[in-house]
Amino acid sequence: MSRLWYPVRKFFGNMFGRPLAAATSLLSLLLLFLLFDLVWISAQTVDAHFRQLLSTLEMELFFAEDLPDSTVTLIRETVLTLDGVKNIDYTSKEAARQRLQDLMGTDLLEGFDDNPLPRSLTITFWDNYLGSEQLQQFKGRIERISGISEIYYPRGWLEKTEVTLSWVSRIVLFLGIVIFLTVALHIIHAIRLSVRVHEEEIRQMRLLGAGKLFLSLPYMFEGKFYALAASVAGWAIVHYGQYRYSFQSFEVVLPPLTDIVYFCIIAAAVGFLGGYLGARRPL
Amino acid sequence: MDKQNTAVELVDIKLSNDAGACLFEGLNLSLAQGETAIIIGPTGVGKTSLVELLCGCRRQDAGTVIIFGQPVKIGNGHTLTAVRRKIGGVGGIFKLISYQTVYENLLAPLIICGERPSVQKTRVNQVLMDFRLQSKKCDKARELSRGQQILVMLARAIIADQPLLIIDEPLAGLDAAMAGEVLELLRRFSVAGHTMVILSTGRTGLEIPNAKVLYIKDGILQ
Repeated sequence: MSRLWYPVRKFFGNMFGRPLAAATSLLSLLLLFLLFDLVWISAQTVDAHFRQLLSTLEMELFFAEDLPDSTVTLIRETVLTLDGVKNIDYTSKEAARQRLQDLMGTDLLEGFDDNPLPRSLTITFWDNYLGSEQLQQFKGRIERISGISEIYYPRGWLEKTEVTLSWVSRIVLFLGIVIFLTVALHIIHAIRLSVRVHEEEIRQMRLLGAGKLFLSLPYMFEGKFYALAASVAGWAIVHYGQYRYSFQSFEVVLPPLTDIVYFCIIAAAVGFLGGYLGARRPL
Repeated sequence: MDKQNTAVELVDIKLSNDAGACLFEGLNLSLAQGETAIIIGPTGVGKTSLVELLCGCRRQDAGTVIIFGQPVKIGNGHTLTAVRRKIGGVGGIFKLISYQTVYENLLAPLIICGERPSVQKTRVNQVLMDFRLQSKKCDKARELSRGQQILVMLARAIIADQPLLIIDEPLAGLDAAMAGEVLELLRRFSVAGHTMVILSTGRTGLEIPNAKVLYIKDGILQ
């Protein structure tokens, strides 16, 4: 048996030599990873829901009554060239009256000599521009244009949404750190137990001249295997669940496959490191 | 003694036990390559501690331990593993791995030394034949008698051509026939040029030609 093959064989020996301990470690880690996956999916779903709502956000500009139509046209063209603007939609006085009528079911302005409703411009923005700070700056720029009597967008709602998303991110980050820390500690503990079981062998191998790294390798493989298998199994369960059950009221958003692959690689690295830390001290 | 020819050198070793009582104070030992030392002392005098010092399992309070010109120091991992690969141990802190077979136990030093698998197989089969252990090849170490365990440990101690053998109580618990067999092997090792440190509570039966006989007394070797 070569020096390269020995750690691999030892790793399999450790796993199959103590199947109950291996199964316990795997299932515990699977539960932790499933918990993490669900937290991540919840955050993704909440985020996607809010982003969808945000994408419908519009800003309305109301023109002054005495502004000539030629100036209105000029302002429309100027606004369209501004950074972040996706589209603009002009509403004339007549169109505004019609819209009000459609909304209320009756013409509330009947009997008025003049149409008091102002001409307006509805602006929609690109997704990366839908932040309260950017929209506030945009509003500031628009306000400098003379002839605009009022600017409206749901600023309060936008700020509340941003705070909510920020809290969701923080909670996910916190839970992610806690769960990953638990995973690492669990692996360290499982590996330490495994090392204890093989204490006699390790002691003799050390006396025969085996190095610490050489003896640690099977345990590092063990930790890596636990973490990788549990994280992959966790995502497999989540995907199977999504395939089997669909939710009518909302769409569950899973992270992209590349992110899942990175996640599993990071989990494997944490397992490898946990294996090293678990084996290092008793060795 | 020529430094280059020195296998084991202990210089002014001072060592206390865990309770703080002094075990060695100014202990010195120098063994040339191919030389045998039989160290005799009653239980509790520090024989096992001496083995631990030679293998780098224990840190001395003062003094130097040198094996084949390399200082034995805990914490100096690379040197320590290199030194340990030159040591074959039997008894005391050296044990067989109980849940492994005789074959696997014999394979361990060869794997550690990085021998090629084909060489490992040949070497283990050769040693099994030399020690008449072929029939025990697949037996677990815990299934062997005390005498058979000593034979396997002796085989393991020389399988990777380890030049220094440390043998702790080689004849303890053996019947006369097995003790004779073990003694014969030790004589063969001595003739073959192995440096040996043999530790025992009594001299009875330990007759090895040209061996230095030393007694641990009052913390030094006399």
